[in-house]
Amino acid sequence: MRIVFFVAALLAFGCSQETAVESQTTDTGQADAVEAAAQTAAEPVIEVNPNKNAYFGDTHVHTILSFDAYIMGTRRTPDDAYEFAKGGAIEHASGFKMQMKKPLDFLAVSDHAFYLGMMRELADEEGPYGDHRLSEVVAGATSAQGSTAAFQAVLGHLRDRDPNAPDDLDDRDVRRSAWQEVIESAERHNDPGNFTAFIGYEFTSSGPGAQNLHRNVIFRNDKVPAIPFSRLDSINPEDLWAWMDTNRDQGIESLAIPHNPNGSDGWMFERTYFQSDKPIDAAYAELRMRNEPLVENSQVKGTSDTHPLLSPNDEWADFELMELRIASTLPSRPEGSYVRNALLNGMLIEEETGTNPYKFGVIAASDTHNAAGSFEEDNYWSKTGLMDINPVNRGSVPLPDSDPASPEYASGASNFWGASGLAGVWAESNTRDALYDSFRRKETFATSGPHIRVRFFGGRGLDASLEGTDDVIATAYANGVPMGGEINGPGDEAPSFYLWASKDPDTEKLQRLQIIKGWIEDGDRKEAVFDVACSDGGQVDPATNRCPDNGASVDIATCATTPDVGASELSATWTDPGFDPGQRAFYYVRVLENPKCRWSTWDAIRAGTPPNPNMHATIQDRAWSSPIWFNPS
Amino acid sequence: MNWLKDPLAAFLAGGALIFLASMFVSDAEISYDVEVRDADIERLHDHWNMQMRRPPTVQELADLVEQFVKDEIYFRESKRLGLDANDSIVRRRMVQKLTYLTEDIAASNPLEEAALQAYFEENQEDYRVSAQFSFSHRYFSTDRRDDAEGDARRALETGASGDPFMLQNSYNGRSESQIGDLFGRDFASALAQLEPGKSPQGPIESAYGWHTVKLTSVEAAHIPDFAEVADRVASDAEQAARHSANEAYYDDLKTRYNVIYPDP
Repeated sequence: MRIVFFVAALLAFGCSQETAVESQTTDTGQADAVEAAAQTAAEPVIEVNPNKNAYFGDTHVHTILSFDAYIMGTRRTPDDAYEFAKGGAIEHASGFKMQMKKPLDFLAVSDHAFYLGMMRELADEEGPYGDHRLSEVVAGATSAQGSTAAFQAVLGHLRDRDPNAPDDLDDRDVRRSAWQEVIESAERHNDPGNFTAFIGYEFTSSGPGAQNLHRNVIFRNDKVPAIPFSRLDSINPEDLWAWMDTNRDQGIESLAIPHNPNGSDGWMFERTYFQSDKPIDAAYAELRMRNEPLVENSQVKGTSDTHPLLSPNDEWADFELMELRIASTLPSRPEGSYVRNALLNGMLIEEETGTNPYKFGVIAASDTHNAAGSFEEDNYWSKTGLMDINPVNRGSVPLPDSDPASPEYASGASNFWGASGLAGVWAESNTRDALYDSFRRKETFATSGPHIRVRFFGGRGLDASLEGTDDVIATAYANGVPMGGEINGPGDEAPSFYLWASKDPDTEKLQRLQIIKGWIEDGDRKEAVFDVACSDGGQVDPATNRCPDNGASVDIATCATTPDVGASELSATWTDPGFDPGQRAFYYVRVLENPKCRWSTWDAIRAGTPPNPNMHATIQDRAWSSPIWFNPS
Repeated sequence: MNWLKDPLAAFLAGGALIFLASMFVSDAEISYDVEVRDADIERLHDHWNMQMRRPPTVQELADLVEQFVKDEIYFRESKRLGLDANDSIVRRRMVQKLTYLTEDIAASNPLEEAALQAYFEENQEDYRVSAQFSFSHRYFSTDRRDDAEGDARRALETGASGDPFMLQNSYNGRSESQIGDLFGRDFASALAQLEPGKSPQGPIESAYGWHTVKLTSVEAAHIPDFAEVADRVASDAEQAARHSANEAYYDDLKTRYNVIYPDP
């Protein structure tokens, strides 16, 4: 008679459901009372610093909802990603716990909009997609080999499908419900004053030859569209911006942050409209700048600041280069693929059209597909889940069956990846509004991983008397513009700059502080690197604009670094010796740490093998500020 | 018939009809003996090995076996309840169904305020707020000074103001760990040893240089009032209720089964 009893209970439960619906008003009333009590007990006080604090975060994180992250074995959710950002430990696809030395201040989960949540459905062999031809291969993505097979199968589906026929993997209901998960998770974790959770997604467009055009769309607050605009709607970024404009008219404010221009084969920063011969004009420039005030200049898949072929006189240009197009083995040409080059081209276009489409600030981010960014060289888990968690699969440790006398290494894209990067934001408080306003003002900086802080001000009212004064920042704000700002002509007097950087308390000391200048001279693009402050009492040689070597080195056998060398802070006031009031110019800061072991060397030491000779054994982690522009009258 | 529009209620009502139908089907052939064979353990072991690319630990294997037993019991119980009637759904789906069913039952009754209070009392430690330090400091840069430590020490007497600092000159209510994130761990642990007072103390070394520190107040580690954490308690308590309802249900079922393990 147990069954009868159970049925009775079920039927009774069915009735009580009805009651529950009818009595909802009463329940809500109680909930309000509890909430009100909680509010009066502890009204949160949001700290505000008018001189602004540096907040560190990651605007580029993939979770179980991204098609590729799922295939790579990642089962961590947006909630897990936010827990990790707040300092928690979460599990990698292969089972170990990932945790940072210190938490972040803000995070945006940015899953691929197309096929959002879809792989989870495919892998459910008994769900509505259990009979799909890709179901089995996706469900089998539980090893490096299985992941690779599934990744190729899904990319193949994307590549080979008839663009004019409906895509049977594009299920609007699945996407909509996954997008709701993204929104709800950000709402749960947003904690004004302590931690900011942005709602965002990735628009994953690329050209027909794997020319990368990806960007992350970040929303100001909880006013977001019902469903994101994806590559299945259009691969043309201009259509994305038009969509963002339309949203803005309806009170939905967002910005897009392009990433991996290094893998775009010149498509990210072109001189023409998308797939067209039509040169960029003022209308394009305004549309783009209205929607893309920032660019991601560094992340796990390489740094896009500049390339040695573009900046032959920059000794530090060969930094974490990734010279392939994204998700391919095709080479990516440097012109049009790097930030410094685009800043220069933007000024050229401005001379022709009156508007600069590339007057952007910089941030860095992780692009992790583990729901957890990997920012520390000695605590590295790469980015593609099961596919490259084994050091052998990312080329840092020899193939197991290779001859120790002449070791051979796997050669995959992971070989060119690194423990980068972080977004730095100067804001008055840690809230969505304050941080988003700073994004818009470009009062941002980028780091290749460490929590390096960098201040940068320019103007005619800044002089050497600022240095070392107590109210230096308030004075700099009052008399100059911060990073992301502009100084305008007329006036023959050269603007001066105040710059100041401090180290991450948990990483290496600083070696040198630099200004990178780009300018247009008689229609030609020019650039120069100036050391402006040196560690250990060194003085800049005025003939070479270089600091003396501070002697910092790394023991590759142990990763020990030279003790007592380097600076905790570096600062300077600087005036451009080559200033010409008739030339357009930009200036930005780069600050370099002392060298330390790169992740690949840590891998090799732990495996007891020599570092891969084709990889840099050491790294000089660094930070870059957004530029300050000079506009002649 | 409003409740028919509610998918859950409709599902449960549908389930009830299936049970009624199943009353006419004998459940005599569904055994109460669950035997875990060596082959089962080997299969669990191999499956784990394939998924995780390493063998399970003793504890993990034991957990897998327990999970297997639970699944088997749920599977049998599902069959006994007729969840498989006229349906080709396989074992995993049935187990899931039964699991969801018990979870929904647990979640269907919102907890009373008194129950939330009781949960909070029992689990106070989960809500403990770590000690919060409020302080101001003056910074003496080792990069700018030959003897930053000495200068800082002398400033305790003279009140000299020190050097500009990249971080805030005062902080309200930060934990030792948060202070360590900003200034370095050694500085944070030294600061946590100070007694609060009106005068500057130290000097203490940070990752940046030397500091005199005026520790204005320390809020000891404490358990917050219920009202401050009511939302968190409500969600945790609901989670716990769900968990214990599932456990109770399983424990009850388990008493009706004889589980036979292989000899160790």
